[in-house]
Amino acid sequence: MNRIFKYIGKISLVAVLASGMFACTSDPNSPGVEYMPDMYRSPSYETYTKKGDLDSAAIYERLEGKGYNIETDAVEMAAIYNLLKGGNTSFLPAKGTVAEGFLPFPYANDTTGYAKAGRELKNPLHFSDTVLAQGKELFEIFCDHCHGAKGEGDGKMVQNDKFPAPPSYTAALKDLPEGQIFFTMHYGKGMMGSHASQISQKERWKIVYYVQSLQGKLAKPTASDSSSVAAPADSLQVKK
Amino acid sequence: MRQISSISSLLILLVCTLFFVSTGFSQDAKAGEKIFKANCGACHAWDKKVSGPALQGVVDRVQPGSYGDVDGWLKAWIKDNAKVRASGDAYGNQVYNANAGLAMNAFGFLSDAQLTDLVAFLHAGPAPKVAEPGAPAAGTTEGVASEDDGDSDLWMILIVIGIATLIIVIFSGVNRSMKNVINQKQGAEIEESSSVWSAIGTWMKSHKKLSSIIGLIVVLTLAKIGWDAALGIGVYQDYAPKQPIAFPHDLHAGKNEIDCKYCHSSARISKTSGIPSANVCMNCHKAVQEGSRSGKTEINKLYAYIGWNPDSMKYTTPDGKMRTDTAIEWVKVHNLPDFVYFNHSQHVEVGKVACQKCHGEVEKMAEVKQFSELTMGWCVNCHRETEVNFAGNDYYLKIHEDAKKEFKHKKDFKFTVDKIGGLECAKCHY
Repeated sequence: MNRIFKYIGKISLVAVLASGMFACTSDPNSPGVEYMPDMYRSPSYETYTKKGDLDSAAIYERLEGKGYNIETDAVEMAAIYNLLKGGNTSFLPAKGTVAEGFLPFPYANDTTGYAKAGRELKNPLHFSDTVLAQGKELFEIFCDHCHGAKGEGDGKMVQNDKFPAPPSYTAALKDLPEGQIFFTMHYGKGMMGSHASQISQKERWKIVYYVQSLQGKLAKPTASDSSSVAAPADSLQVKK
Repeated sequence: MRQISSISSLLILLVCTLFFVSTGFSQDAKAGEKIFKANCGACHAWDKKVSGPALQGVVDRVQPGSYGDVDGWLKAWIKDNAKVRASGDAYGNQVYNANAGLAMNAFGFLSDAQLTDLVAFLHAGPAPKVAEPGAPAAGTTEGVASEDDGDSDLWMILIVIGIATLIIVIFSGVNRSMKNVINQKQGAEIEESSSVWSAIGTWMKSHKKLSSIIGLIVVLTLAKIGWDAALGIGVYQDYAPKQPIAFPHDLHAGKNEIDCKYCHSSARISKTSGIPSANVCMNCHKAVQEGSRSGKTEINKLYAYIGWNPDSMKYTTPDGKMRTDTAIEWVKVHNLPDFVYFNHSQHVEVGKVACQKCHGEVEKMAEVKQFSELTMGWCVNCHRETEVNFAGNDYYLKIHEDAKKEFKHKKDFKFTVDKIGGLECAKCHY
């Protein structure tokens, strides 16, 4: 009987070793075996992480013997530390930053701004087949899951009863002027949020052309030149 | 008797009328709900203020003034609220001012019948939601079950092997003691009980050819296992870490057909595909406050990160804006070491490579896992096999013209990526 227990012990040892071997690779939370940190983990901050590396002790250690006055400089350093502690690695741009090619948008996010944009704001891009096709492509990425392929407010999100239906381009929004189409993408309206962070100004104007074609406002393009005016020059074409 | 039957027939009649009246009414309201969803839902919710006021109890609030009754006022207001306000209607102007002068659109295109249905809906309220039978449960248990399967398979094999070994050992023991009993009776020598290892040793001595073959197989198998394990070092394939918020790609990109590039919008224009910032989440999750799989738990995590109160539809920060001092620390799944340069826009926008080619069918994944090896061999293979997408591609205009001249006389020529420098070291390592 004792002997049998001894064998059971041996067998279970083998079993544990074997399961240990398999476990290394089957845990989805582990990236797997690593020989050395082969530049997979960067010493610089990765995006979307917290800056939690520096504690105050580390700051004092760094200040020690470097000619800093710990008493006074530590206050300043503590301010930096507080900024770093638990903060994000992704920051908003500094106040007053202007992106290259950005054009100011002088309309406030209120009813007067909306009305004014409807009267004044005009599409700075030349209309062409290419621009329309690009507008369609962008519409299919950013708009059609709610607005529907034809802009009738019947996108997949609406069909799945997930999102309230946006008004149709062929009914309620049939006469929406181009300036207000742009305004709505810029600031959002009703349940629609602002898409300014995802779509550049130039791309928004391309979408405006496509939306107008869905409204039935644009005749078939006659000229087929693909050049567009320089206006919002934040060209997002891949650099050649 | 006659009396009873007449009473009962009266009752039946009454019930029938009630039934018809109620069904007739609710059907109007149902049609009205459809109209509401299609036209009003973008600004109005039933039980909370969105950009327009909550419409629950609107029929009790309205003071019809010169419009006679509530229904008349509502219809006139929906059709053209500016006209109602201009007529000096007290309640209309009060509502307008209470909402900071945010004017409602005019809905003149709605017919009178549609307006009647819509007002019937405003009286009745939304129909109670019918839960999708078993939908949320199926989603959650599926994942758990499949995880269990993998583990239990392994354990089953181990248990079977264990039991089989145990049986062999016991039977050999029993066999030996039986032999001993016989031997004892015949007065012969008693066989010593030996350990398994020494038994194997004696067996190997007596079966040299067979045991050397088995030994060779064992060594080769171990070598193969070792080789595979060595190849797997630093390869993160199938890595599927648990994320801070259980974001289901299969619902977003699959069921709701949201384009990959809606959230990962910088894949078109930059090196990184980008993880969307929380304002992109809020483009939809202002309205979508409950998930079909995890209810409110996961979406509430998002709200907690950015300080959004879904009931008041406002940010709880002092300045009324999204919190920026918190980070949703998504765990990076596809991670390339720092010595490799990879550019998303080059592949997505110029090469027109589908996201799924490298990332797999993410639109079917409840939890994202690393689909490809992301090894250098994998990159190089694809560059050798993939043909350059020249058609209508401005990016390659010049290179295409040159190539047409250069390779004019070659037959069955495949213009793959490696022909335009896709294998040059410094393209990716510098």
